[in-house]
Amino acid sequence: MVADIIVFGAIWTAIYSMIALGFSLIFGVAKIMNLSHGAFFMFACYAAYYLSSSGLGLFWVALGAIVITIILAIVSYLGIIKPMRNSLTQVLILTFAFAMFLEQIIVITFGPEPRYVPSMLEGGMSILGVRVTHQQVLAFVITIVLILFLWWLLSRTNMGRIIRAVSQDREMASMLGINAEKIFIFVMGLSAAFAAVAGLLVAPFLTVTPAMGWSPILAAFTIVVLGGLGNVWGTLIGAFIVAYAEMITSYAFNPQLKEAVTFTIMILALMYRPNGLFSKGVSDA
Amino acid sequence: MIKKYKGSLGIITLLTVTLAIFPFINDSFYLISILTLANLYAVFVVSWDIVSGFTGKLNLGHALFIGIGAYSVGILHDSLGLILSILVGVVLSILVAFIIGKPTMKLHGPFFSLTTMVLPLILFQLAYTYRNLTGGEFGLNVSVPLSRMELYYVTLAYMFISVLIIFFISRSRTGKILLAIKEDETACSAIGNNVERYKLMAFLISAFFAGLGGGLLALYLRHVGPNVFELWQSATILIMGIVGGMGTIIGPFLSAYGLTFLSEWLRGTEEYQDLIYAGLLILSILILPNGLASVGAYVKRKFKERGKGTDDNVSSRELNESLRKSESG
Repeated sequence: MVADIIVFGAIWTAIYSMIALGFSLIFGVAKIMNLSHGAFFMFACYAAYYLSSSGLGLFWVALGAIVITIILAIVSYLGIIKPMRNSLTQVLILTFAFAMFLEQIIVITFGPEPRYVPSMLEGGMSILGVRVTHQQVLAFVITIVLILFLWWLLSRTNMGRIIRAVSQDREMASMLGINAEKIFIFVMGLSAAFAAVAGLLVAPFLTVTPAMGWSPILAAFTIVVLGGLGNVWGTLIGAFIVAYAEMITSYAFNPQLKEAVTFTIMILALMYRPNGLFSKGVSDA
Repeated sequence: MIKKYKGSLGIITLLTVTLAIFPFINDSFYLISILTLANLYAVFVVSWDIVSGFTGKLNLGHALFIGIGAYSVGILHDSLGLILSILVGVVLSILVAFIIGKPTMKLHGPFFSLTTMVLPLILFQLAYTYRNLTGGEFGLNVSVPLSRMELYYVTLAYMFISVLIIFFISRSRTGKILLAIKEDETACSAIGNNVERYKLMAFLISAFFAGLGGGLLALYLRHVGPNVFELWQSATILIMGIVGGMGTIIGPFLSAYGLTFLSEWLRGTEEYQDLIYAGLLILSILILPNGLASVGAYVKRKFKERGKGTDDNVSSRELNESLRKSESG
């Protein structure tokens, strides 16, 4: 059991990091709490399901799912979020409503029963005596690569510097000649891409249902609170905490209690460390 | 004060009286049934509005208190009897509101909203898991010694009392402070108001009425299941509140009735119903962010302007009177 917890905890740390980073990005940069983020994750899973049952090759399924999700996210930003940017409350309601709207469209199109998405890699292996599928290992590896990519993007490139500038002080950045709107669109797309990749990778071993988008939001939010906004390493640590807490609850107690535990962590974090465990300002590393 | 609000009070009283007389004109089982449900939703939405529309803290999970009230009745009605089990539900709701409200009221909006959104979902899971207590996905049946008609009048009376209380709170000094918190919390706090206490108080009041209503809901449905905690339960209330006009009390009150009937009318469309609702919510915010109440207020203003002439005609007497009132009030 301990080995299970260690191995699957590691895998879920990586996956939750992907989802949380996307959520944290758009929250930190554009100050938007995107309640549709989980819906994008869910949407990508269904896009993968649809494309793969149309018989397309693996590469095209992946690419197609990611691109469609990015387009959806950007459209939702331009059509729904941007007009109401002034009122945070209304943006919250809108992203909430959009997430429900998406969920309903999926229910109508595909039905509420769970769907099966084929794995990218068949077979499995044994790590520390635990049986892990190759798909799960792939998920772990790819997410780690992408997280490192994000870290590199934010801290070592010009674009990263621009993003950080916009997130720290939007007006100042605009005055320096940065088109903040374009940055928001870019970050929105990036955030959705991360959610989509996470969705693609885990769809084969998760239950794909229309309502699957809501529990990632709880985890992502808890992670963001723990790790501090806009802090890549903080998010990783937050994901570590949440993933392992969930695994321990799952294996040692009752799998149904996972979310209750995450929620408790969230409340405790909000009460005692609302600015993150490290309580630093917005940084990239 | 009654004279000043005769418009809104009139509407509430008129509707209540009409509903009270209604069964004597038409005692269709179907209509009475819908109206009973609408009475309850009126309380749910109005109790939601006093927090979300007034303090500006958006509650995305009002189903939480409804569910707690309903399950308390479901679980305890055999052992404690109806009234006590409803009371337990109310007490639990207030307790939960206090536990959740205390830490989250201090923080920025989105944190509160997300917490309220997620907690009912967790209780949903727990209701499934602890099936010995809650009956799992089948839920619990509630035996109700009241007739349909009696239940109708109980909910009607409950609605009238609750809406009046919340309405008067909203138009009182407390209500004004809550609105001030929504507008600019820092400024309001700087004047010396204990904003946290007011926010928490509004939340507790909200929980009280929703919890009691939840108990009545269990009586109405004669059953309580995990779906009382569903996201759609909260979303429905949200939609009613927004379409009606957040922060007006009277708007959400009317839209509760309107939308309950609309949803009955839409029942034929079955699978598209929820989609239409979600779409309605999106459109509503984009086009009419302040709800239908703002349309009502606009019409009323236009009507008054036409009758009385332009604003330049404010006499100095009226001006002095209003200045005097604000000084002493």
